[in-house]
Amino acid sequence: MTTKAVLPTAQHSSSNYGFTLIELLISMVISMIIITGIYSAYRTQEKSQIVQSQVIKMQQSLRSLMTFLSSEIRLAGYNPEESEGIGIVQADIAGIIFTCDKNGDGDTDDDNEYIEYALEDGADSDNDGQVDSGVSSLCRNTDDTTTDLQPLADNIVAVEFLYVLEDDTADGVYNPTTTLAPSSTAYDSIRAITISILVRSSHSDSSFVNTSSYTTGSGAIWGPYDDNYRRRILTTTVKLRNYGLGS
Amino acid sequence: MNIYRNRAISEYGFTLIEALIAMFILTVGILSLYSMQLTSITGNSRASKITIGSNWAMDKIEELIEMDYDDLSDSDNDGEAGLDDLSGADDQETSSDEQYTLYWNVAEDYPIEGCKTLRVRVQDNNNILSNAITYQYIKEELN
Repeated sequence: MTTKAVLPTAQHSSSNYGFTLIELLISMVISMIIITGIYSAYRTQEKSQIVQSQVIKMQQSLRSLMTFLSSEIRLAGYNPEESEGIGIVQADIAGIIFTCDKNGDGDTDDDNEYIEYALEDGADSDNDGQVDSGVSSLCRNTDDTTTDLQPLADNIVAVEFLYVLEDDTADGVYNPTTTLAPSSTAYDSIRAITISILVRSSHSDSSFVNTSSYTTGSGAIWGPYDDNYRRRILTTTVKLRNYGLGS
Repeated sequence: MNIYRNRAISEYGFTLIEALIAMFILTVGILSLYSMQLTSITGNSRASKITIGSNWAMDKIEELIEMDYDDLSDSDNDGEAGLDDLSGADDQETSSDEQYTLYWNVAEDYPIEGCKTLRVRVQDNNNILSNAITYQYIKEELN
């Protein structure tokens, strides 16, 4: 009843209310353009966010692995009680086993005194430091009776341990011999280890092609891989503080 | 009454100019999101450069520690004043990818007699890192 009473006054100005069809269509077109713009901006930012978070993860795991690895390897052969047979147990391009007497009780039977670094079992069957296909993890094992490898970092493509031997030429120039496969008799003359690690991102990115090649500590070249994964390499040298102290 | 109604009609809706200004402001807002994204990507690549650079400086320090004390010489004899030298560094090398240059300087008998101060500086050649990464080590004479 009330509606009817209001109608006559409203009728007069009714042509001024609301949009015409044309106005509606134009405003819809404009909003479509704006929404498309916002959506495409969102999509590109989302994509780059995904890529960047993977890059961060990759860089972070590489950096922490390298810090951990080098600080632990630096201790190899720590032997305050001057016991026999403490030091590098096995050394090759893809891994290292060493002992150290961290608590200074004269043996290496305590926790974390026997340390092995290696790629996952079977990941690198030809033992050249490069994972046969895909990625593996760099693992740590602290039990000399088993090979209970605990992964330290994932998405490892290749590792290289280069052994720098004592510079015994006494020619006034620092030009030590380096080797990727020291004989067990040469373990005592190892003075430093150059570690190179190559990691890749966890997911491939179809809009990216990796054509880079990576130079290791020994000068070997890894890649180019020509795939869709981003990669990072780090190389560092660790001087073994407990080697070459004289006798 | 008539005047009042005409004014009231002209007040309805936005004018084209108003709509255009609103769209412009919206665009500026969206573009600022792009710049945020760009900042984060630059930050990431900067972080990567710092890691690689400081890693290399560290690598060099370890190599210099391993060298014989007598072989480490202050080749241009500029002592502690020359520790920060880049152009006249005691030695320099460029990384294999030519992205970084490493300079190192030695100051003999500094800070005390029987010690050598080694200062390693790494600079990225595209100058994304505004400052060189600097590592220092004091090596003592063992005998």
